[in-house]
Amino acid sequence: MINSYAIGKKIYLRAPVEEDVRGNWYQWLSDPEITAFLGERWWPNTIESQLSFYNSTRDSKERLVLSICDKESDEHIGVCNLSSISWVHRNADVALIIGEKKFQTGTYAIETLSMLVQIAFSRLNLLNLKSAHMSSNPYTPLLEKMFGFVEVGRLSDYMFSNGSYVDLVITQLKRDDWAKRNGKI
Amino acid sequence: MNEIKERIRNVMAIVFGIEADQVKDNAEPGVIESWDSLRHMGLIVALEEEFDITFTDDEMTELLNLELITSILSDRLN
Repeated sequence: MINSYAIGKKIYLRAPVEEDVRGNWYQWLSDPEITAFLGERWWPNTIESQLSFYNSTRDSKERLVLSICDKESDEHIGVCNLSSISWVHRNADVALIIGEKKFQTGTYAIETLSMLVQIAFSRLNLLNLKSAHMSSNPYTPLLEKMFGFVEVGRLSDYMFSNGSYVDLVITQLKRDDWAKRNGKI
Repeated sequence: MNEIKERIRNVMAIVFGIEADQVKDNAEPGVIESWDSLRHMGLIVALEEEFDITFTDDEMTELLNLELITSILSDRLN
């Protein structure tokens, strides 16, 4: 493991490095299979735009971007982040992507979200997390439900996806609810 | 333990779209062809509903095959 920031059972999270950008990361965000339900798939991604994102976030305190790596092989398999972090309101948006297809088994996404939520609440002292997904997305609602995210809003016919308009569903996880679920209070 | 395992088999059969007797003791992704990422998440949600429990985040990362699921659920229910 290299420069691990958080260590799980099968994965670890670390700060991204430029090699990640020049590896498969930028291609994940162009791949229509991987980005089918993401909000950032309208234009092809490039190394240059990925590098620009990387440089804009590496010292940011409003966004925590972490590379997801397989513990066994050190392979960079995905990216997760807390964005729009508000140190006044102590909230943030949460998102993750498992880019390497052989790791898209569900278990890596589950462990990543588990670790990211733990970081948000136990390490960064945030109080609320928000997530959003298109209503056509079959994966994210299940993942969110597993972790106790609850739907708090829905923007009707808000996103254009695969030829039709779909709702944008907004969900929230409060630290108190997460702590209760996990026996931490 | 056996009763719990049978209930898990029944849930798996529904989630994976197979017969319960096709869920063998070595059931895991790769052994059951339809056990993909979406159904894996669906399985966890369905198990919570069947057994009326909420898995902790730690437990969710351990639910990798029939044996581990049976063990975790048996600990929780006994």
